[in-house]
Amino acid sequence: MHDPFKAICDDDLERRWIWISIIMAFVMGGLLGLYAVASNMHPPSNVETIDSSRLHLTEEFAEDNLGVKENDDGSLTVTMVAARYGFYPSVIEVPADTPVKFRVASADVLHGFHVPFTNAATMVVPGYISEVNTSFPTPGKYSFLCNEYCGLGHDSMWSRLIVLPKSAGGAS
Amino acid sequence: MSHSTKAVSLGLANMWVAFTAFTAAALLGLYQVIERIDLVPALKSPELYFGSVSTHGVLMGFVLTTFFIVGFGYYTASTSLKQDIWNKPLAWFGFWLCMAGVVLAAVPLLTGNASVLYTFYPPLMAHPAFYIGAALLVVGSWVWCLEMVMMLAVWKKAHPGETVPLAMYGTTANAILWFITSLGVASEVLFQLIPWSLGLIDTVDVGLARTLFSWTLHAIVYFWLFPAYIALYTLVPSAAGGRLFSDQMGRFAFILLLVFSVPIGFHHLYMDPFQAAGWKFLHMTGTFMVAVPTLITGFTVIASLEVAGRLRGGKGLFGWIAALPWNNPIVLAACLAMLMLIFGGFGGMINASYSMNAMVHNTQWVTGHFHLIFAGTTVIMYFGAAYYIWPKMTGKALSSVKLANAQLWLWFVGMLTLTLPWHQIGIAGQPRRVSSTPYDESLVQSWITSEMLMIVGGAILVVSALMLVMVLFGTHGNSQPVDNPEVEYAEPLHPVARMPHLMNSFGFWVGLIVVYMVASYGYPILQFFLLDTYGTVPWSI
Amino acid sequence: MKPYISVITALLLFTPVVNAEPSSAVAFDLATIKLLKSADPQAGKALAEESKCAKCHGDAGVSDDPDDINIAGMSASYLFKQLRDYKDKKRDDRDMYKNVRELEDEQMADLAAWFASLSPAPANPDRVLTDAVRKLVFYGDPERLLKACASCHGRRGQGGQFDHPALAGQNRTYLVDSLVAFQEEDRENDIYGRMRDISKSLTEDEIEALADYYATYLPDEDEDEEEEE
Repeated sequence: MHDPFKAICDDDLERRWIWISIIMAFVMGGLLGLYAVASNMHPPSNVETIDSSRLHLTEEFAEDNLGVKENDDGSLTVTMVAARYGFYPSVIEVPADTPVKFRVASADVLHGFHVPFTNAATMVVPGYISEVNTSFPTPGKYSFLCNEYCGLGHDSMWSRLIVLPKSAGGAS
Repeated sequence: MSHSTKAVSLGLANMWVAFTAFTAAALLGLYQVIERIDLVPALKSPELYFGSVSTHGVLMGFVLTTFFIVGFGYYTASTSLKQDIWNKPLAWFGFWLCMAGVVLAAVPLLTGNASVLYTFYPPLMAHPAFYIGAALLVVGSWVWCLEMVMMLAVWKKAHPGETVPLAMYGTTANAILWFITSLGVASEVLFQLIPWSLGLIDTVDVGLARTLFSWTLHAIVYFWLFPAYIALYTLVPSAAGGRLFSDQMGRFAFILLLVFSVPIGFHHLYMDPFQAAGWKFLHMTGTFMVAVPTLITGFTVIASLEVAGRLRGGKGLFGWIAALPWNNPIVLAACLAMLMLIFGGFGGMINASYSMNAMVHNTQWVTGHFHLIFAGTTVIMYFGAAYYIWPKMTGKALSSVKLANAQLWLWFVGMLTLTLPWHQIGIAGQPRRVSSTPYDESLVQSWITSEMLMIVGGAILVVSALMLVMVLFGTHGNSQPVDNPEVEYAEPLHPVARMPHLMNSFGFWVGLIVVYMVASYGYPILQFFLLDTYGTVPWSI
Repeated sequence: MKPYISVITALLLFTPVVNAEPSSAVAFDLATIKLLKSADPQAGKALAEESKCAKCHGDAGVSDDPDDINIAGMSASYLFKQLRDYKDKKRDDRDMYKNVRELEDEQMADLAAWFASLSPAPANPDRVLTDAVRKLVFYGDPERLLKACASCHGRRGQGGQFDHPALAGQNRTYLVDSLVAFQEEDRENDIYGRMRDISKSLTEDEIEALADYYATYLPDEDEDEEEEE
């Protein structure tokens, strides 16, 4: 077989190593990519705009419409607002092992949204609605932490997630 | 070569600015690791902390890097081509433009009016002087890009058909890379942030701003890394007493870096809404491709060191390692840099991963990672290169080789002591960029030990930083002259008979980047003009 | 069984409410910002005299009666929002409603601009910052999900952007009354319930202590202290 790298490399060892490097990159990238696609794990990539400055006057993100809602298929939708310096509503309870879709919007600046030890993470960008799909296998007390600098009070921006045991939970 | 041909004063002026900024920023870094831990209530002040973090980032990420790369570039270009700087007054104009930018940006930074971190973060709004200063710094660095391209063109005209020296090939690749990659942040600053901060436009589209910034954000890391690679390929093998394993591999790696590092910025936007998953997947594949030149570099540099070790009488499978001149600062720096690259590369795989990134995004893991790769691998090579060229620029022997080696070892130990625990608190959930941790007791307790270790690491690094300045400063006043004032660029093991045109020029590769950029950034940018977007008004910090 | 019940309760609590009423009709969008920017403080001054604001809020926006709020030096955006909220009955106060119901947005913006331009109330120098208060103000209490007051209201109690009011130099009784009103949901014009959440976590003693701290707060003195640190 004609080696295309022969034109640029005379040394056999070098060429072999170039091929090994390329194959390594493809295997690593390919495995991670395949794994993600096969288990349908995509990063939060919702493309949807909203006027953040009027967020509390919109229907979806009106104060009384925030929180946990059960969908017809038993999954949950959690609507939340990130605003200086907290997530609202400030306590969210969901059952374990249940598909949860978070819909989060910012009322002011750029925020981060992360539940440590889980893959529930997204940026919350003013002007756009973020969507995260996940489920929580382990019951317990968790925190939503803002992980993007959002102003001098950034440290204080966090709130509570409680994951309840599924066996006792209603949604199935 | 006559002394005037070498760009000594341009090189020294730029690199002294770089290392002065570096020392100031290192001190700020120590303050930050101490402040962040909630043990000393008297030190608590988010105003000071975020002002300090912003200044530390700007000094390390923009000032140290840009000025070092520019100074090193001028010196490399003039010595490898054995040719005068093209249009010297213009080169000095570029230097002063960069300086004006730094001074202009420093005023709001130091008065707490630009605590928006070095990544800007609209809709937080800084004083306009900060953005204008940043723009001047970038425009000033473009002068250097032009200089490098022109110097290569002049040389090629005088040496038709000859092979461009590898050091210059890499330097020009970096100049082109920086020009292309800085267009992203330049557009953000010129068309969005400056008019917005001056009140000429009311709102800013944060999605567009972040997309433009991502255009710059990844390849800027390679802009920083390039001089380290150039030193590894062209200075280290000869300093170690050997030869470069392969000149063509070096070129191939430089070309891959140039082509693949710009169109892959979306791995910084994995967690952002406003870009669809398909685009992120496309950028992910490119991100893994950019690992190839690093793997090639690892191989070539280690192979070159092996050649040196064996020439020095090293025997057996590993005997050549012991035979290396570990007391030669640039060789020591190279070995330590490669070690840190192995640790850092592992972490990088997780960050680059399309699915695993969610676990570590914006946690302290990420800051730990880039400190290991940048402040570790890259910056230690800046030190090594400085120790190598300082005597040649000043004509005086290094003031203390012992102190220089001790400095490098301390930097290595300090960096590992700082960054390994840093990764741990990231996995344990600590968000980045916090000045205190008023969270659940269970979380905070799991961080304490690591945070204490980080303080030790920070202190070691500050000592090391001061030692660097001492050695370099002392060299200027050393009475002992340098042994060999010429830079010895490494000769390849196999002399290259005829370099293929593609590996001796850039036209084709620039064309390829343009096509790749249009494919990977075209629609993602265009969509902001097609969607009904809502701009965001300015917010104070 | 218990977790089961709380899930159901949570689901019921957050079931969409028909005709969900926002807690305030004011949004700090571009239109409002431009309205505030173009406001005329002198027109506001004239209007303030005509409306006899001084009767409760003092000649220069500083009240003699500790039940009333000192409005001098507060941000125009916060003052404007309160006026609109009174008019929209989002903040319940019969007297203020009567005073503002006839006012147009521009007039309220002028009034806000006038009072924002005045110097804040002089502070009482006998301020004491106990450890307990320091913790609440600068750190919060994670156990209770309680945020540091300073994160929104500023390290010097100077207030934040748009609807985060200044607290420094406020009347003590007014501060206590406000926190209690939020706690008991007599006042609900804090968008997304930010102050309702926080005030419910505070004890009566803490409310008193915080009011003491902010009411007798001396900004300049504290600035010096911070520099010394």
